[in-house]
Amino acid sequence: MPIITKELALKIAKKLKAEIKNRPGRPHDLACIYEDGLLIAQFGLRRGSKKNLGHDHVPNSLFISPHDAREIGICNRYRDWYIKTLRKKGYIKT
Amino acid sequence: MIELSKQISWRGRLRDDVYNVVPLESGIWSNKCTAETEILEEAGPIFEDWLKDVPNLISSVADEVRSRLMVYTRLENIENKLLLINASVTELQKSQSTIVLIETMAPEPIEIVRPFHVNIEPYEDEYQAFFLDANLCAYGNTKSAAIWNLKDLITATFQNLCEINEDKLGPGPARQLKILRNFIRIKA
Repeated sequence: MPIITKELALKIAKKLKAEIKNRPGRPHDLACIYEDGLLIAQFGLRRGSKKNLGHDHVPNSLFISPHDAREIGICNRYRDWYIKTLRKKGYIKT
Repeated sequence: MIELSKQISWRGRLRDDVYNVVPLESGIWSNKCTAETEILEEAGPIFEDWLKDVPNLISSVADEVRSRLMVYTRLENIENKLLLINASVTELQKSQSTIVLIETMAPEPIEIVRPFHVNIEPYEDEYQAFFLDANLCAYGNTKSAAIWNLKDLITATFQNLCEINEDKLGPGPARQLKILRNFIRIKA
Protein backbone atom coordinates (compact mmCIF):
# COMPACT_ATOMS: atom_id res chain seq x y z
CA MET A 1 0.00 0.00 0.00
CA PRO A 2 1.51 3.35 -1.00
CA ILE A 3 2.14 5.96 1.70
CA ILE A 4 0.43 8.59 -0.42
CA THR A 5 -2.45 7.39 -2.57
CA LYS A 6 -4.08 9.34 -5.36
CA GLU A 7 -7.01 10.11 -3.06
CA LEU A 8 -4.65 11.56 -0.46
CA ALA A 9 -2.62 13.43 -3.09
CA LEU A 10 -5.80 15.14 -4.29
CA LYS A 11 -6.68 16.06 -0.70
CA ILE A 12 -3.17 17.47 -0.19
CA ALA A 13 -3.52 19.51 -3.39
CA LYS A 14 -6.86 20.85 -2.19
CA LYS A 15 -5.57 21.65 1.32
CA LEU A 16 -2.58 23.51 -0.13
CA LYS A 17 -4.89 25.37 -2.53
CA ALA A 18 -2.96 24.02 -5.50
CA GLU A 19 -3.85 25.06 -9.02
CA ILE A 20 -4.50 21.91 -11.05
CA LYS A 21 -3.35 22.08 -14.65
CA ASN A 22 -5.36 19.47 -16.53
CA ARG A 23 -3.63 17.76 -19.43
CA PRO A 24 -6.30 15.74 -21.23
CA GLY A 25 -5.05 12.56 -22.87
CA ARG A 26 -1.76 12.65 -20.95
CA PRO A 27 -0.72 10.42 -18.04
CA HIS A 28 -0.28 13.31 -15.59
CA ASP A 29 -1.96 16.50 -14.48
CA LEU A 30 0.10 19.08 -12.66
CA ALA A 31 -0.64 20.51 -9.24
CA CYS A 32 1.06 23.89 -8.76
CA ILE A 33 1.29 25.64 -5.41
CA TYR A 34 1.73 29.41 -5.37
CA GLU A 35 2.46 31.85 -2.58
CA ASP A 36 2.35 35.59 -3.26
CA GLY A 37 2.34 34.89 -7.01
CA LEU A 38 5.46 32.72 -6.73
CA LEU A 39 5.47 29.06 -7.77
CA ILE A 40 6.85 27.33 -4.70
CA ALA A 41 6.21 23.67 -5.54
CA GLN A 42 4.58 21.45 -8.12
CA PHE A 43 3.85 17.77 -8.41
CA GLY A 44 2.39 15.33 -10.90
CA LEU A 45 -1.03 13.80 -10.34
CA ARG A 46 -1.42 10.47 -12.05
CA ARG A 47 -4.45 10.04 -14.19
CA GLY A 48 -6.51 6.93 -13.58
CA SER A 49 -9.65 5.88 -11.82
CA LYS A 50 -7.98 3.88 -9.06
CA LYS A 51 -8.07 5.74 -5.76
CA ASN A 52 -5.03 3.91 -4.41
CA LEU A 53 -2.62 4.77 -7.23
CA GLY A 54 0.79 5.40 -5.67
CA HIS A 55 1.84 9.03 -5.28
CA ASP A 56 4.82 8.55 -3.00
CA HIS A 57 6.76 11.21 -4.93
CA VAL A 58 4.51 13.96 -3.54
CA PRO A 59 6.41 14.56 -0.25
CA ASN A 60 9.70 15.03 -2.17
CA SER A 61 8.08 17.42 -4.59
CA LEU A 62 6.62 19.39 -1.67
CA PHE A 63 10.01 19.39 0.14
CA ILE A 64 8.49 17.83 3.26
CA SER A 65 8.54 14.38 4.88
CA PRO A 66 6.00 11.66 3.99
CA HIS A 67 4.63 11.94 7.54
CA ASP A 68 4.02 15.67 7.17
CA ALA A 69 2.46 15.18 3.74
CA ARG A 70 0.04 12.64 5.20
CA GLU A 71 -0.77 14.98 8.07
CA ILE A 72 -1.76 17.65 5.55
CA GLY A 73 -3.90 15.13 3.67
CA ILE A 74 -5.78 14.04 6.78
CA CYS A 75 -6.37 17.61 7.94
CA ASN A 76 -3.99 17.66 10.92
CA ARG A 77 -1.89 20.33 9.24
CA TYR A 78 -2.88 23.20 7.00
CA ARG A 79 -1.52 25.47 4.30
CA ASP A 80 -0.34 28.02 6.88
CA TRP A 81 1.85 25.37 8.52
CA TYR A 82 3.22 24.34 5.10
CA ILE A 83 4.11 27.91 4.09
CA LYS A 84 5.75 28.49 7.46
CA THR A 85 7.77 25.26 7.12
CA LEU A 86 8.94 26.13 3.59
CA ARG A 87 9.97 29.59 4.75
CA LYS A 88 12.03 28.02 7.53
CA LYS A 89 13.66 25.63 5.02
CA GLY A 90 14.43 28.46 2.61
CA TYR A 91 12.07 27.36 -0.15
CA ILE A 92 10.21 30.67 0.13
CA LYS A 93 12.21 33.87 0.17
CA THR A 94 11.36 36.09 3.15
CA MET B 1 -7.45 -59.65 18.74
CA ILE B 2 -10.03 -58.77 21.39
CA GLU B 3 -12.77 -56.24 21.01
CA LEU B 4 -14.36 -54.56 24.02
CA SER B 5 -17.93 -53.47 23.57
CA LYS B 6 -18.62 -49.75 23.57
CA GLN B 7 -20.64 -49.52 26.78
CA ILE B 8 -17.80 -50.49 29.10
CA SER B 9 -14.98 -48.42 30.54
CA TRP B 10 -11.48 -49.70 30.78
CA ARG B 11 -10.52 -51.07 34.20
CA GLY B 12 -8.61 -48.66 36.33
CA ARG B 13 -10.77 -45.75 35.43
CA LEU B 14 -14.01 -47.14 36.84
CA ARG B 15 -13.15 -50.19 38.88
CA ASP B 16 -16.75 -51.30 39.51
CA ASP B 17 -17.81 -51.27 35.90
CA VAL B 18 -18.81 -54.50 34.34
CA TYR B 19 -16.40 -55.66 31.71
CA ASN B 20 -17.93 -57.18 28.71
CA VAL B 21 -15.50 -59.20 26.69
CA VAL B 22 -16.83 -59.87 23.27
CA PRO B 23 -15.51 -62.99 21.58
CA LEU B 24 -13.57 -63.12 18.38
CA GLU B 25 -14.89 -65.03 15.40
CA SER B 26 -13.31 -68.12 16.92
CA GLY B 27 -15.82 -67.73 19.79
CA ILE B 28 -13.37 -68.46 22.58
CA TRP B 29 -14.40 -65.77 25.08
CA SER B 30 -17.64 -64.24 26.15
CA ASN B 31 -17.86 -63.02 29.70
CA LYS B 32 -19.10 -60.39 32.12
CA CYS B 33 -17.06 -59.67 35.20
CA THR B 34 -16.28 -56.93 37.70
CA ALA B 35 -12.56 -57.32 38.12
CA GLU B 36 -9.49 -57.81 36.01
CA THR B 37 -8.68 -61.15 37.64
CA GLU B 38 -12.01 -62.55 36.53
CA ILE B 39 -11.37 -61.35 33.00
CA LEU B 40 -7.97 -62.94 33.10
CA GLU B 41 -9.34 -66.21 34.49
CA GLU B 42 -12.05 -66.40 31.92
CA ALA B 43 -10.09 -65.02 29.02
CA GLY B 44 -7.11 -67.21 29.50
CA PRO B 45 -3.41 -66.71 28.84
CA ILE B 46 -3.79 -64.92 25.50
CA PHE B 47 -5.73 -62.07 27.12
CA GLU B 48 -3.16 -61.93 29.92
CA ASP B 49 -0.40 -61.55 27.30
CA TRP B 50 -2.38 -58.82 25.61
CA LEU B 51 -2.68 -56.90 28.89
CA LYS B 52 1.05 -57.26 29.41
CA ASP B 53 1.55 -55.77 25.96
CA VAL B 54 -0.41 -52.61 26.84
CA PRO B 55 2.56 -50.75 28.42
CA ASN B 56 4.66 -51.68 25.39
CA LEU B 57 1.91 -50.50 23.09
CA ILE B 58 1.57 -47.22 25.00
CA SER B 59 5.31 -46.76 24.91
CA SER B 60 5.44 -47.45 21.17
CA VAL B 61 2.55 -45.02 20.59
CA ALA B 62 4.41 -42.46 22.69
CA ASP B 63 7.55 -43.08 20.60
CA GLU B 64 5.53 -42.63 17.43
CA VAL B 65 3.96 -39.40 18.73
CA ARG B 66 7.37 -38.15 19.80
CA SER B 67 8.95 -38.88 16.42
CA ARG B 68 6.02 -37.29 14.59
CA LEU B 69 6.28 -34.27 16.86
CA MET B 70 9.97 -34.00 15.99
CA VAL B 71 9.13 -34.19 12.28
CA TYR B 72 6.42 -31.55 12.77
CA THR B 73 8.84 -29.30 14.65
CA ARG B 74 11.44 -29.71 11.92
CA LEU B 75 8.84 -28.93 9.25
CA GLU B 76 7.75 -25.87 11.19
CA ASN B 77 11.38 -24.69 11.40
CA ILE B 78 11.86 -25.26 7.68
CA GLU B 79 8.63 -23.36 6.98
CA ASN B 80 9.81 -20.42 9.10
CA LYS B 81 13.18 -20.40 7.35
CA LEU B 82 11.44 -20.48 3.96
CA LEU B 83 9.31 -17.50 4.94
CA LEU B 84 12.46 -15.60 5.95
CA ILE B 85 14.17 -16.51 2.67
CA ASN B 86 11.06 -15.45 0.75
CA ALA B 87 11.04 -12.10 2.57
CA SER B 88 14.75 -11.62 1.81
CA VAL B 89 14.22 -12.44 -1.88
CA THR B 90 11.33 -9.95 -2.07
CA GLU B 91 13.51 -7.34 -0.38
CA LEU B 92 16.32 -8.03 -2.84
CA GLN B 93 13.92 -7.78 -5.78
CA LYS B 94 12.67 -4.47 -4.44
CA SER B 95 16.17 -3.07 -4.16
CA GLN B 96 16.96 -4.17 -7.72
CA SER B 97 17.44 -0.94 -9.55
CA THR B 98 17.87 -0.57 -13.30
CA ILE B 99 19.61 2.47 -14.70
CA VAL B 100 18.49 3.58 -18.15
CA LEU B 101 20.15 6.20 -20.30
CA ILE B 102 17.63 8.59 -21.85
CA GLU B 103 18.87 9.77 -25.23
CA THR B 104 15.59 10.91 -26.73
CA MET B 105 12.41 12.48 -25.44
CA ALA B 106 10.41 11.51 -28.54
CA PRO B 107 7.49 11.83 -29.07
CA GLU B 108 7.53 14.81 -26.67
CA PRO B 109 8.38 18.22 -28.21
CA ILE B 110 11.60 18.30 -26.24
CA GLU B 111 15.20 17.88 -27.34
CA ILE B 112 17.94 16.30 -25.36
CA VAL B 113 20.89 18.59 -24.73
CA ARG B 114 22.76 16.00 -22.73
CA PRO B 115 21.63 12.38 -22.25
CA PHE B 116 20.73 11.60 -18.65
CA HIS B 117 20.19 8.54 -16.50
CA VAL B 118 16.95 7.52 -14.84
CA ASN B 119 16.52 4.81 -12.22
CA ILE B 120 13.79 2.21 -12.39
CA GLU B 121 12.75 0.21 -9.35
CA PRO B 122 9.87 -2.12 -8.55
CA TYR B 123 7.17 -0.23 -6.67
CA GLU B 124 4.15 -2.01 -5.17
CA ASP B 125 2.87 -4.06 -8.15
CA GLU B 126 4.32 -1.71 -10.78
CA TYR B 127 7.52 0.20 -11.56
CA GLN B 128 8.79 3.55 -10.48
CA ALA B 129 11.10 5.60 -12.72
CA PHE B 130 12.84 8.61 -11.27
CA PHE B 131 15.11 11.36 -12.43
CA LEU B 132 16.86 12.06 -9.16
CA ASP B 133 18.62 15.28 -10.15
CA ALA B 134 15.37 16.99 -11.10
CA ASN B 135 13.38 15.41 -8.26
CA LEU B 136 10.85 13.89 -10.67
CA CYS B 137 9.22 10.50 -10.42
CA ALA B 138 6.62 8.56 -12.43
CA TYR B 139 5.09 5.09 -12.37
CA GLY B 140 4.00 2.44 -14.85
CA ASN B 141 2.85 -1.16 -15.10
CA THR B 142 6.03 -2.04 -17.00
CA LYS B 143 9.52 -0.56 -17.01
CA SER B 144 8.95 1.02 -20.41
CA ALA B 145 5.58 2.44 -19.33
CA ALA B 146 7.28 3.98 -16.31
CA ILE B 147 9.88 5.60 -18.60
CA TRP B 148 7.16 6.89 -20.96
CA ASN B 149 5.30 8.38 -18.02
CA LEU B 150 8.47 9.93 -16.64
CA LYS B 151 9.15 11.55 -20.01
CA ASP B 152 5.62 12.95 -19.93
CA LEU B 153 6.13 14.33 -16.43
CA ILE B 154 9.51 15.83 -17.32
CA THR B 155 7.88 17.52 -20.33
CA ALA B 156 4.92 18.82 -18.30
CA THR B 157 7.16 20.14 -15.54
CA PHE B 158 9.66 21.73 -17.92
CA GLN B 159 7.02 23.37 -20.09
CA ASN B 160 5.23 24.72 -17.02
CA LEU B 161 8.46 26.12 -15.57
CA CYS B 162 9.41 27.70 -18.91
CA GLU B 163 5.99 29.39 -19.18
CA ILE B 164 6.53 31.22 -15.89
CA ASN B 165 8.90 34.16 -15.56
CA GLU B 166 11.97 33.12 -13.67
CA ASP B 167 11.42 35.83 -11.07
CA LYS B 168 8.08 34.18 -10.31
CA LEU B 169 9.70 30.88 -9.38
CA GLY B 170 10.46 29.95 -5.80
CA PRO B 171 13.92 28.52 -4.97
CA GLY B 172 12.72 24.90 -5.41
CA PRO B 173 11.21 25.23 -8.91
CA ALA B 174 14.00 27.65 -9.98
CA ARG B 175 16.58 25.04 -9.07
CA GLN B 176 14.58 22.36 -10.89
CA LEU B 177 14.44 24.50 -14.04
CA LYS B 178 18.17 25.15 -13.89
CA ILE B 179 18.88 21.41 -13.66
CA LEU B 180 16.42 20.51 -16.42
CA ARG B 181 17.96 23.12 -18.75
CA ASN B 182 21.24 21.26 -18.45
CA PHE B 183 19.64 18.23 -20.03
CA ILE B 184 16.71 19.30 -22.20
CA ARG B 185 15.30 22.18 -24.22
CA ILE B 186 12.05 22.87 -26.04
CA LYS B 187 12.22 21.98 -29.75
CA ALA B 188 12.49 25.06 -31.91
